Amino acid sequence: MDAQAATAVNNSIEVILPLIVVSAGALAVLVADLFLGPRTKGLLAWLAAAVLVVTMAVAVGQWVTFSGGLSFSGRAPEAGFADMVVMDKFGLFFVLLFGAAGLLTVLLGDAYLAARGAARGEFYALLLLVIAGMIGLATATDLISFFVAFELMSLPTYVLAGYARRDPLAGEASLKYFINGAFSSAILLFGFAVLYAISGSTTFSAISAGLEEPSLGQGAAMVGFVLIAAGFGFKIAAVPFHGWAPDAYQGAPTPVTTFMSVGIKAAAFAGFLRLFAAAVLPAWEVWTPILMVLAVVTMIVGNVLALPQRNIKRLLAYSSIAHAGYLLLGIIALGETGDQYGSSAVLVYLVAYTFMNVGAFGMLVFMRNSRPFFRYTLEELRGYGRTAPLPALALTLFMLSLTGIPPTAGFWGKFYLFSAVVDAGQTWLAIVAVVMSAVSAFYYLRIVWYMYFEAAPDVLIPGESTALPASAGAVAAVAQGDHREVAERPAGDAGSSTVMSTIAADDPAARAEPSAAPLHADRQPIDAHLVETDTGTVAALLVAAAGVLFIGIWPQGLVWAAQGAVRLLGGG
Amino acid sequence: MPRDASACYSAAGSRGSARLADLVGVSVTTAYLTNWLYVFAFLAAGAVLVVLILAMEFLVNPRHPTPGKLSTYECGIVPVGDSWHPFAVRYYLFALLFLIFDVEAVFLFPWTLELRSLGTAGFIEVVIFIGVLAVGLLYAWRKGALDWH
Repeated sequence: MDAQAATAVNNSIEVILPLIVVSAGALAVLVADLFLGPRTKGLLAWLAAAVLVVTMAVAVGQWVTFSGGLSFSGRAPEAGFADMVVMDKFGLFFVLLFGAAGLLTVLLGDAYLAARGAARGEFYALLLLVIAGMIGLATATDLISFFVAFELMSLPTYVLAGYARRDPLAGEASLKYFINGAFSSAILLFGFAVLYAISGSTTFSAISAGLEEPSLGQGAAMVGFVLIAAGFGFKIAAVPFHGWAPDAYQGAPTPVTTFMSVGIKAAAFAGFLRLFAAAVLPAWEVWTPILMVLAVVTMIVGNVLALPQRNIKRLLAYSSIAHAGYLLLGIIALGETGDQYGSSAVLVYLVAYTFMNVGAFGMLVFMRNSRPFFRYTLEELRGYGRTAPLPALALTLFMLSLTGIPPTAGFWGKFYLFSAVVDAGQTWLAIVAVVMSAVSAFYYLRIVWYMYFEAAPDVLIPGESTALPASAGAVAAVAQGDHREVAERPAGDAGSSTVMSTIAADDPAARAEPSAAPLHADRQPIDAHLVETDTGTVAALLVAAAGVLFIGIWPQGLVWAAQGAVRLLGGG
Repeated sequence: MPRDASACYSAAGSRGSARLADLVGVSVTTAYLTNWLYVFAFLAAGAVLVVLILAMEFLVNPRHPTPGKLSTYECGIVPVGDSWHPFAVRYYLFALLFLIFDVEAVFLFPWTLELRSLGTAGFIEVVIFIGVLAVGLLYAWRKGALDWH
């Protein structure tokens, strides 16, 4: 091999170094799981976390050497494997975001999985493989590598969605997600084929050049972009491609739901943002109207359908659909103006959204771990503000952030997105978004209302009579680092059914819809003796709350980083 | 960033001579698309060939059906029941393992032919590839997928 080829290979390996670390880490977790006894399985979480920390450290190192300090000056992106992948600041930004989302999921998942006696090795190995696919997606600069990474991200997620395999709802979630996902991948591939036919290349830069002299007319371009938008819409759960999301989000184990709503969405936006910015920007007049329709319909339908939800997990699923609608505004602004302000707004929003949504779903994990019969209904939140002041405060913070109220991260995310779309001259889109945010305040703040202004049910059930006061004690115990009390709560199926009947008698809505109560991911009561330490969940919640507040108070650092990341996105 | 890219789309139509193509928004005059004519010609020729052979068979072939001739295996074990029958999931595991090593063989045979030209880097890549598959086999082995109880 000659020296030039050797340099090319070395450069290519450097480009995909974070990808190599995380993939090798996935294999290491898988092998370690085979040789660890039942008592030492807890080490797997540490191993997975270590892999993610090393990946993020590599990314930080590459970011610093890339720009020569933190001045964000930026130089030409470094491409590898014949322009199939590029590791620029945009890619590194998302490596860090995916690493953070993965770490938070590991923290949330460990107690949850241990309490159910579920296999943990495969969980972490699959999680790391999903992250490998996500990194590949954020750094792909060719339709081929894009699609391979897209599938590498999707396939392990289908398995993770059905991870609670004895639960029929988890099976339903997994199957719905798989069939819809496989279908949408095929549609996306059709769109890529049309794009190739129009531009004559699969490489992003060549597509961009080819679109200046398209070989087919505008009708063909329209067909191609509708297909691509459909594949994209499926993955981010945009209306009308959202049908799978509520069932999949509700049926999947809550830590997996957290990761799906945060990580997969961020990765899909990362990949498609690069596709729209670096490859198909010349044809902006064809695809921006498609995305406008998607965005408006998604914001309206997502928010309106969230209103009647009484299951919090399902409510957050619809809220996640609505947030995909807001995020689309950033790509529309990119298409309308051709500059990268909209892209940086998407990045800011994705970081803010990661922290607040991990926090919201993490609170569900926390409540589920500390109250074995928790079934994610609004009614169960009654009196939570009194029995558990600190967790209730945290949940309030995340709800305020999701609504977009300052000084939280969600406010700045929406501020930059909406101002980007106003700058692009599409003020009507910003008006729709603001009105829909006001609608969303109703269902987010209703959760807060239930916690603070609705009294706890008067009739206490035999199984639960000691549990309710105990949960207040448990929260205090968790805060003090002593978790014994959590394990002392009684468990049994009899208690569970009485809780249900009490709720049914107490609440007219629940009575009218009796099938709503048992619909939740993990029906079988968890073994309360195993929830001894919830340290991981509490740590994840603290990190999420700190992130929401930090970005809310000082958004400038994040904005600088995002603007540095998108500077060379268009290849200019 | 040029903002008049959409003009290219309409320009592409007027440049061509095919009026019908203009109506559906497709201009077939570019050299790029004529390259694809070979593919379409190939597809059409293939379809015609299949129809032709089947038609010839239908017209020329003598037919003397007997029960023995119409059975699934004319000379072999007499089939019992049909194939829609539940069978042990272990077959599925073995099929999966077979698939992995089948794909491995597909990659390894061309590699042995090009071993010298691919050099050290190619060798290392293949070793990594086999290593990943070995982890899969190790996993199946430790999980007991290879035991037939």
